[in-house]
Amino acid sequence: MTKIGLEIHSQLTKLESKLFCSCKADYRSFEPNSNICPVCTGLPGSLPILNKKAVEKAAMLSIALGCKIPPKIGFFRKNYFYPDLPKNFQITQYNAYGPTSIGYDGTIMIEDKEIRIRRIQLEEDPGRLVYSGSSEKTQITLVDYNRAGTPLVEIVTEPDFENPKQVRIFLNILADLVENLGVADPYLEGAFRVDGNISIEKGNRVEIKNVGSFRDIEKALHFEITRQQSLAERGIPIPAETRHWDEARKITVSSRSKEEEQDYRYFPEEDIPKIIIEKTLLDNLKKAMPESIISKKERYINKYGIPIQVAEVLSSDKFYSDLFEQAHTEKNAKEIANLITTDLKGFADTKEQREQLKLTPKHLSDLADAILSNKITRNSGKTALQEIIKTGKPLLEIISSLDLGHVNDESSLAKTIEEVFIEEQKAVSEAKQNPDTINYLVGKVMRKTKGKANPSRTVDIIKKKLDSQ
Amino acid sequence: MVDRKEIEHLSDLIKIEIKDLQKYIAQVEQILNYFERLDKVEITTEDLLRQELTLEHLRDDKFVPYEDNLIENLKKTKENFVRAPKMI
Amino acid sequence: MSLAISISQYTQQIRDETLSSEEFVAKTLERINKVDKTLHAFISVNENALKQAKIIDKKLKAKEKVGACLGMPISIKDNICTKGMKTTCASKMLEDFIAPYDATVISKLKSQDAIIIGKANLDEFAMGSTTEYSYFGPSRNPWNPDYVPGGSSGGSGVSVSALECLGSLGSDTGGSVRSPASFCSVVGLKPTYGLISRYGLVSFANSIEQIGPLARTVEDVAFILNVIAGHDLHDNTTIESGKPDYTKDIDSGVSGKKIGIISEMVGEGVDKDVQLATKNAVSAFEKLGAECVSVSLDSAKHSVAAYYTLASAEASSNLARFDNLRYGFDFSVEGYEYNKYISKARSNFGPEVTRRMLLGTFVLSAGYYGKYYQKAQKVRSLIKSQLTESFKKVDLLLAPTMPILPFKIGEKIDDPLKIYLLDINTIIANLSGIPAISVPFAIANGLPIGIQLFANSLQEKQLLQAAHALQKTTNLPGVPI
Repeated sequence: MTKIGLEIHSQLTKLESKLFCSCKADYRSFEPNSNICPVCTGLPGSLPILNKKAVEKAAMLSIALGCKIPPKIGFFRKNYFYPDLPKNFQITQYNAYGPTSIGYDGTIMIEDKEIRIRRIQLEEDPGRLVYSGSSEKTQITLVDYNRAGTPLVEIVTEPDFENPKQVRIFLNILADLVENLGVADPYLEGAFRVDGNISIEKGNRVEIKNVGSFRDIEKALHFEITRQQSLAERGIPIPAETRHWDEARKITVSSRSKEEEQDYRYFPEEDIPKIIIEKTLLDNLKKAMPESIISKKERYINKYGIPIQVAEVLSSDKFYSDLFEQAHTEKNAKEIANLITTDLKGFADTKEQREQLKLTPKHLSDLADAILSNKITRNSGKTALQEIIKTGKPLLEIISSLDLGHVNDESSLAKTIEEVFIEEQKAVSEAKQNPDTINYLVGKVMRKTKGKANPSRTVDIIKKKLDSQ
Repeated sequence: MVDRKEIEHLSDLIKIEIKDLQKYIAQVEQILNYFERLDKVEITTEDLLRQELTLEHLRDDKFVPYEDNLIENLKKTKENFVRAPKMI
Repeated sequence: MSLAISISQYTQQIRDETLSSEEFVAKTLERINKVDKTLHAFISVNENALKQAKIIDKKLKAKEKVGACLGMPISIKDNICTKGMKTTCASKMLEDFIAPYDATVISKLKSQDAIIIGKANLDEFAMGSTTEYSYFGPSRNPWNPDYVPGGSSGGSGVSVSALECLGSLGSDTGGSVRSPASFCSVVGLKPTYGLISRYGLVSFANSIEQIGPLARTVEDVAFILNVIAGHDLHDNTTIESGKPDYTKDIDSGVSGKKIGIISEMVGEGVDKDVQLATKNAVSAFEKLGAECVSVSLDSAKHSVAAYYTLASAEASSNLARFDNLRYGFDFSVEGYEYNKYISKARSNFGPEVTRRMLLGTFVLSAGYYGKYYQKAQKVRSLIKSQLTESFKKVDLLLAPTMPILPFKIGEKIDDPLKIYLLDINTIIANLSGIPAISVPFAIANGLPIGIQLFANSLQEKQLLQAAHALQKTTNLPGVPI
């Protein structure tokens, strides 16, 4: 059985300052080495000063992922040398000597699968390396510490995922969760990084790093599974190694073999005392948390009779659920949920699409009402929606300008059907023999009327006509 | 317990190139032998009572730009990067 | 005008206008010029000191507000960051490092108008007990320049003792303020861990070390403590301690106090002269109305092993940042690959630092963590709990600061473990965090002996009162140089 585990690093981009100093958390607009101070550049004598909000936000995330939170949290040093690491150790959290990280032993449900969260920890991001020089011989390493010290949460799952689809769903939920909680903006460049580890039946564990966008992780995992399976089929053992995702070629490439396991010599970071997580704090955080995705989903199902699949999609995306909340009435809730998850989805998913979106909650409400009252067909509704997204014009205007109103007029409908019968004689004779193929003719009528024909009326008329022939 | 290989491994972990390994092998071994006595101590006392903090003692999340142009005081290139050796 | 005055006398004379900061600083600089060639207390001297003194005199003359330090010259151990001045930690690794910011204690001193007269010599990165491990060469004991001044804050001890300043800030990790205080015949205090901000103190063993003042009298030490103590937002390990005035009621005496003499520190292995001095100190206290009893602290015998395990472990991590990329010394990265460059740059650490980094890396490495590091932490807890128990029975503890007299430079340098064992009396204070002070008490064969007092956490006032009372019973000769 395939086993996939994830290690996600999410920057806490919604914070104002870094994890251990007051430099800006979002370093993206700064000139090189202009968002630095003695602490985040590891100057002699500098000391880390923990950011209160980072602890709060990470605690909220832990709660939302069903994790346990220890009564006291502590920090550890992970010791290794690298030019982007100003102190040549990273201040992080570590549970090998007892649970002291901000969250541990959590679970989250993906469709029907339980995914266990091994731990959530707070840690600092290193700086960035820039390589300059044209050839490998002239490659100089340049270091920019603007990012050093940016707050991160690391989320590690057990290898409970069975396929890349589950991973994708999980990551979408997680991204929405961090957005929903006001913890981070997962769509900022470099703010949400995913590493995976994957093993197929009887195979070694392979780590995949450097998957740039979390949309690419599904591709990378698919590729990797295929690669491993083809090795297994040929009786070749799968080496345990680290591979990185080559974005350009869309393949995974072997990095270094993992034989030299680094000895990080973890030990407590004594410059930061243990932090007591009081029960009252957790209670306050729980109260302040926005409604959880799970509770939203349940509300949609129970209160509005929205189907489970639809409720899941709707509840796990903050943008769409906000839209739903603002647009719906008791009567049209189900229809709006449908519109959003079927027709709007795909056109308002990315940050750019959402920024340019001209659609308002009122549009949705009007549209839903128009469909429900038979003013326009659902098909026409689709067309109208596209127009709304682009132009933002009021629904009535769009209906008249695009002539989307129902073709309820029996005579013109009969006329159209007559035309189709003439054009599609072969299909007509087929339909006489086999009533199931009637849909082909219905489709032709819908096409001719640009979707405005009343589908049920069309079917009745066609049936009658076939019987009478 | 401490042989040449071990000292070489340690000096690689700590990134210090050591010329006269022999001298250090003897001294480190002697001192580690002295540390061995710790193992024999029977201790049941709990964690050290050091200061612990609650959240209200922690730093507020505010962006405060550092008052000096710090990079001017560090080793840097013309474009204000810090220069590191070639990575392999 | 004499340089051999105390801080109290200096401030009095400034206020009486019988002395100016410029006069005193000028004379101090002359003195440094004269004796430091021999003693080598300083790594660098502040060339702006006289200018700064003149500014303070001007303010005084104009009756403007001037800070409590009134332009007094203070030396600073060169592992404490002073903005715009070299901060080398007596190491080649920081040979060219000019600190871009002031340590909190320096900001505090400056805001009270103290003058940083120079940066004092130390064992490299504060690792050592004799100042012989300084990259710039050893400092020499003013009582006999062939002898060690103690360490690691040797330069601090020497500069105060040899009248090259009125007071000094050192740092004490295993006894590094008290050892030079004892060997140089001055007062040295290691405050409660968390009382003084470590922001700007170059970390060696961050869960153990504290900055501590040295001066010629206990009252002077209390004065400096007033300036530098206090909670600091830049240091999460500092404690809220209120803001007591450590000089107030300093002559309350010790009548009715109970003092415990640590039996493990006065018996075997202790020089005869030191044993005698200790006996005399006990008598002095009894005459002052204190009750002296014997107290056993059997966990003390594990203290050296525990300390060097923990301190080395912390050092191996704290000194990792010295990769010569952002700051350090002149050595171009051109033509080197990363690992080769770093290893070569870091080969410039001295032998003691290298030794401790190897030890520290070893005790933290996979498989050994439980055996050494965790065990050492447990021993630390044990020591703390035994001390807490003791302080239920006594108010203060007493022991000689150093078990032996100062020795010749070069005498013990080839035996690192032997030097470690010299810390046996001082280390319990560092491991447990309690305050301890060394008071100059006797001279034997021309060499100083200091007596050490310990108090419970945050009991500095009580500690200083007892130390002050003890010092008042002495009448020691002035420094011979």
